[in-house]
Amino acid sequence: MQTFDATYYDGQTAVRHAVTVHLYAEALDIVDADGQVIDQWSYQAINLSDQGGGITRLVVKDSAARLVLTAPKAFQALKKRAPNIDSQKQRTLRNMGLSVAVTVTLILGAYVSIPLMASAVVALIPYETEQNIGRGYAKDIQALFSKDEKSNKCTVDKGVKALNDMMAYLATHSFGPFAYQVKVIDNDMVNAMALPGGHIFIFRGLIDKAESSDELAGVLAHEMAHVDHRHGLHGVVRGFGFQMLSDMMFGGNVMGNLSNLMMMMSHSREAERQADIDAIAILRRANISTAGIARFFERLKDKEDEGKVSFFKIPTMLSSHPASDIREALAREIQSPSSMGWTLSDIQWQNLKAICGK
Amino acid sequence: METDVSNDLRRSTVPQTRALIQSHVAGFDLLKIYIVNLILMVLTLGIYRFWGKTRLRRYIWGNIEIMGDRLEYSGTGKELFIGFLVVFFLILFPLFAVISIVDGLLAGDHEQARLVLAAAQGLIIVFLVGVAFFRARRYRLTRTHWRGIYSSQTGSSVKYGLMVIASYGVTLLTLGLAWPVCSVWLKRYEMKHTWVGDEPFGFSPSVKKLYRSFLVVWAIGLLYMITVSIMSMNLLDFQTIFKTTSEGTPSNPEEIQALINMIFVMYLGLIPIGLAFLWYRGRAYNHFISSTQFHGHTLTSTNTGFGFMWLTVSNSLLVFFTVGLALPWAVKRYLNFVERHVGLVGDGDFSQLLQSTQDRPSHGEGLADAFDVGGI
Repeated sequence: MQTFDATYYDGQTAVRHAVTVHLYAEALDIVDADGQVIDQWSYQAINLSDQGGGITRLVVKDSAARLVLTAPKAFQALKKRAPNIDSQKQRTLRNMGLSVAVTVTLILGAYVSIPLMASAVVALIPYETEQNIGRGYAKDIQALFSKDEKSNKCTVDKGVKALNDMMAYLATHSFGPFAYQVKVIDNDMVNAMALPGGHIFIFRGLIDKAESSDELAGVLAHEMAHVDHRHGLHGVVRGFGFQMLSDMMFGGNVMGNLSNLMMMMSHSREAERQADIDAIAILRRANISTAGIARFFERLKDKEDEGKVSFFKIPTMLSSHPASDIREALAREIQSPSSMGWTLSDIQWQNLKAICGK
Repeated sequence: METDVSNDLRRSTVPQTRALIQSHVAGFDLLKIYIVNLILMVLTLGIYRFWGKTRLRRYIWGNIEIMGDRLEYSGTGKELFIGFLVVFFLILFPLFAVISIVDGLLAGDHEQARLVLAAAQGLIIVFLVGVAFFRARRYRLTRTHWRGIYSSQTGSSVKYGLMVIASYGVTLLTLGLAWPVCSVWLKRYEMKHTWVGDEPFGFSPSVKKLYRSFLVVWAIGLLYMITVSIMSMNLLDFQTIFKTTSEGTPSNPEEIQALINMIFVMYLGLIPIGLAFLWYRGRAYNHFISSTQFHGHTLTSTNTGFGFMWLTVSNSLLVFFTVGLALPWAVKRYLNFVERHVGLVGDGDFSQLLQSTQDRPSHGEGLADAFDVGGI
């Protein structure tokens, strides 16, 4: 039997007891100055509270009593008899492992569950509500690019008419719940976007780059597919979920924001693929050749390869769109058998190209 | 040795001032914990913070000695994590989801309704910050043990949250003049509901005493506001200055000089106001500590307003110029400051103090984590 001096607190009163600890095979005895055994702790029930500054504090199950060992050898001797007691180092290592496991679980859980929850929420939102939400966003987007609605130059009557004709024709071959509204924004970006509730914006840069009306029709069909699938609303709800998660779970730090961004991007890449496939279906039903959209992607791809679009080739993980070569292949593969489709007349096409004036 | 001294003191029946706190915190030990915590925080995108915070507290509590016995922190990272999950899924997520959806529905046309919603959201956040502070305090107290007995907190966090809203509102309406009254009101609620073992604290501050120092700060603030207002009124017209400058036509140099002067005074003027407020806080702490009683003892404080001001300023500079590396030493300096200045008058006998009978929450601090209140 080994004995060590220690301090004991009984858990009932704020009194410090100077005691001797007697280590036996299954338990330890706590003996006061008069030689009385005042407490007995089974090794199975003992655990570490904290350790540092030469002091080891021990707790026992279902009790507020504490035992403080001051002799450095005392804890080693105890640990030999009761190996289930953690040391400070073991506890720290276990906590590290646990927190890493929790992090991985949270990320995987969010990656799978947030888009599912977002789909459920979107299904609950009535179409009318989505139109209201979309109207607000459309206002915001227009305000972002021009001081007011009137100062948007891209409203030349003949151009608007040509664009609306194209839109109306395509709309007869899509089966979405929303009426589409398309507007052109006077900006150099080669881009287009679909907001919730049927609002489609095309940037002038894209119209400038398009070489035929088939190409533009392909882009329009793509944006219409986004509208039909309510991708915009889904993105808003999903973004809200991911932002909440990254702010609250991860404390809104840089790493959290990066993971948030990557999750958003990879999910919207799926949406883009879906829109590509549906756009091709709309074009086939409308009897418009998909060669146009294929050529458009091909030119984008060439620009990417030449490094004109961006200095670095953005890795697919970080891009919100599928790589242009994949999209081009898709469009070619499912090419409409008939290339004798509907098209704008040359004059209409020239008018459309001049929608923002000269 | 320490044991013998305090036993001697315990036998003495003459009330006398004695040291209350002794800090054993070492800068390098603390730095090691901070660095390991930081690395793991990065690796886990921040999730380790619950365990890291716990590790830090265990170290600090375990190295603070009160009347010869070290404190013990018995909270766990798991409890903090569960507290966070509960708050996240039961309160914050539903709350902000509802607010966002309503805001989305109002988008576009109902600008006034959106403003009302934003105001309501602000009030809810102020309320929740108050609730968070009070609940976190309860969690921390119930995880703090001394000589085998633990501390606790009674009272209602909802009531405290409403008190915080009222305090901020009244302070705002009185241009800050009501702050001492409000701070005493809040502090008294906190202290009267704080227990160690089976006994609550006594707390008897005097608002009058606080106002003597506060009016100095308030007068400086008023002087600042008046100066800035007069200077801006003397300026002819902001718009003409900016317009002429951006068009490249030379502007009246006197006007430009007046504008520069005003911006200079606006920023530099904040420094004396900040220093005066720190000075007031130091004096308020002194008063609050000296107004606290427990188990037939009264706390004493010898810290001055300037002492606290210097501690805060020097600590901030220390942390700033070492890019945070000296944070452990700032913590150590703060604890040493408390050690130097806080004492206890009484016979030093706590043997009649019994174990607490208060319930302890099974998890904690979720809200405080979300709103980042409570520091360590």
